[in-house]
Amino acid sequence: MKQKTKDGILYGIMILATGIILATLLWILFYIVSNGIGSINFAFIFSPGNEKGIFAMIVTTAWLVAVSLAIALPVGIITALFLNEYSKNTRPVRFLRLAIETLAGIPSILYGLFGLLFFSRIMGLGQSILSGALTLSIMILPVIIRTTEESLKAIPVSFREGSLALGATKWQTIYHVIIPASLPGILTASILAVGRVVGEAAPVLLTVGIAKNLPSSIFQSGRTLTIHLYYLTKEAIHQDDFQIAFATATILVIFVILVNASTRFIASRFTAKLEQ
Amino acid sequence: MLFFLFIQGVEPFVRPTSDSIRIVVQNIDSVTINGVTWENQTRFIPVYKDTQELIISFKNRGTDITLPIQIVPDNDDPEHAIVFPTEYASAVSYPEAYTHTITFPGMVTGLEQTITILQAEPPYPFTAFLSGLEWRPTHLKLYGILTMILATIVSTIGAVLIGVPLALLSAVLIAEFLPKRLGGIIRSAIDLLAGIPSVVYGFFGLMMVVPLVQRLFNSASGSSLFAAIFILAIMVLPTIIAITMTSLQAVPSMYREASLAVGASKMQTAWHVVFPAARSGILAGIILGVSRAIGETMAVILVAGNSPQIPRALSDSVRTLTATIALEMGYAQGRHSQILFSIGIVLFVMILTLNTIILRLKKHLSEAA
Repeated sequence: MKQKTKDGILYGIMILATGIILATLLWILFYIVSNGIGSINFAFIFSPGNEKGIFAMIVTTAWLVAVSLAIALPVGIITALFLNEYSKNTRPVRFLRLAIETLAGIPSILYGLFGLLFFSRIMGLGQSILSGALTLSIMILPVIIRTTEESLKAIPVSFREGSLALGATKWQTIYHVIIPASLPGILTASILAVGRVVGEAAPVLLTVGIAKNLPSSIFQSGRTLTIHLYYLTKEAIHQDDFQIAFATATILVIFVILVNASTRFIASRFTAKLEQ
Repeated sequence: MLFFLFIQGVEPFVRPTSDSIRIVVQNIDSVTINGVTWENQTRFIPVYKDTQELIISFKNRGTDITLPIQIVPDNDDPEHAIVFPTEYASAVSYPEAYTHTITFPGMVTGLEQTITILQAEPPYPFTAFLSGLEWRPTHLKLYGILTMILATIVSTIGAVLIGVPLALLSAVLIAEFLPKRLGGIIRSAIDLLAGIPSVVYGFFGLMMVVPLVQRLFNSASGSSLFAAIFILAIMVLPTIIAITMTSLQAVPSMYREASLAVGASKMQTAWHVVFPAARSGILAGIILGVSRAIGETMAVILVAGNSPQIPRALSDSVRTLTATIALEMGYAQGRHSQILFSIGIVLFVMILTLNTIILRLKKHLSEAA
């Protein structure tokens, strides 16, 4: 009986802790969305001429996402294929894995410092979308490699054996069997990477800069949504500024929810398909 | 990557800022320094390394002025290393360390002629960098980062103290007690917490937590160590929960079955058998949470107040290592900019140490299994 009471109390504490976490999440989401949703309208998002609008920031963010994915996806996928399909557990491979793991643990501001020094200063790109995209592409590599590798591991060996037994070469097997089967995983990796690029701020501040105008090329500076929110929050004076900040934060939050929902959807479809 | 950070970050401690004294003139079309005439020079004018006397002559409002300036080498006090003629003493100012400026009235106000003499700063002592309490990068050229190291450590410890119990309790609940479906829903909510951009956390902190602190502690601004701890505690939750759950789920089910078979309750099994069996993984999760808190930048900038001072109370405004880099990189020049890279190296070393511990734990984990 005594043990039962003890268990009950502990159970209550655990539920309380989980409740606090969930309540905090809901509090944040509700507070931001309820204050911001009212200021969001078509002109706010899409009108380039709107003084208070965020069209330029959305364009900058989109450029940054497109360019960094264009760089990181091929490299990441090839690395994952190599690690999972070709490599053996040799010393250089272990070192590569260690490097990827270390890369994943480095704080983003350090990527920013490196990008500023190497891409902006040494390579002479200045503060530009390209410089930021190169920096972020290194940062999202570990995410892409890991997620892709996990989906590669989930592909049953029978797929490979079946293909090889039919006389396909290793490369044919990879190209016609492995890659199609791992497409959902690669898609998940890309979505996660997009989420990371959109949400990142510190390295973007150092490498892309804060220019508020609409960028006409990737060699120009720009201001992403996160940096816009950062500056609005830091320098807000008028009530209007807070309204824009709330609206920008709401857009970011909605975006994050969409990213999470889509990865979950793809993951569930993927596992269902493999189980068939 | 490391290599490049190191090149920049080590330089302030091994080399002086320049080989010799440098001179900058303003609103002077033609200036003669030790016999060499410079026309419309807007950049640094270098001086030979061991020069002991500078004779500077130029025209001021129609009259020729000649300034004999003595350089006293090997002087520990940079303010007295350069001696101007006594009749101009009132025109000389010392606006920054290692910098003398002499000003002459111009034709109209705003067009004053100035000659600025910049001394080379000697290599900055590494110990003064790590243990210095004064961060005055522009005026006094003092680069002590101890206050920021302390702020980073204290805010991280605070976040861990609040975040870890919450995270562990809920991770055990989700992994060991809740039905799979409900657990999955809660898990995806927690994943959402991980996806929220740090700027949004900072914004939320500034709008909600900072006013709360203001009222709670009756402090002037509310941007404080406590607000930083609060936000960081939320931010480390998803990392710790995710890894704790993975390591709890990796514990073989026979552990649970054996424990239940000898009459232990489900709760006892969870906390006394499964939890200890997963402890290496859990510890790794906590350490990963710690590195997230150390590396967090934008959220902390928005809520912590950013005064470089020793954190003494929860309501104190503090500045972390990461905040300093992000705040000052935009305008830092010369040695100041390099020192920011040195701060990056300090951060890197901290994170690398934590990573090494995680690797050790993982090894330990695989050996145990």
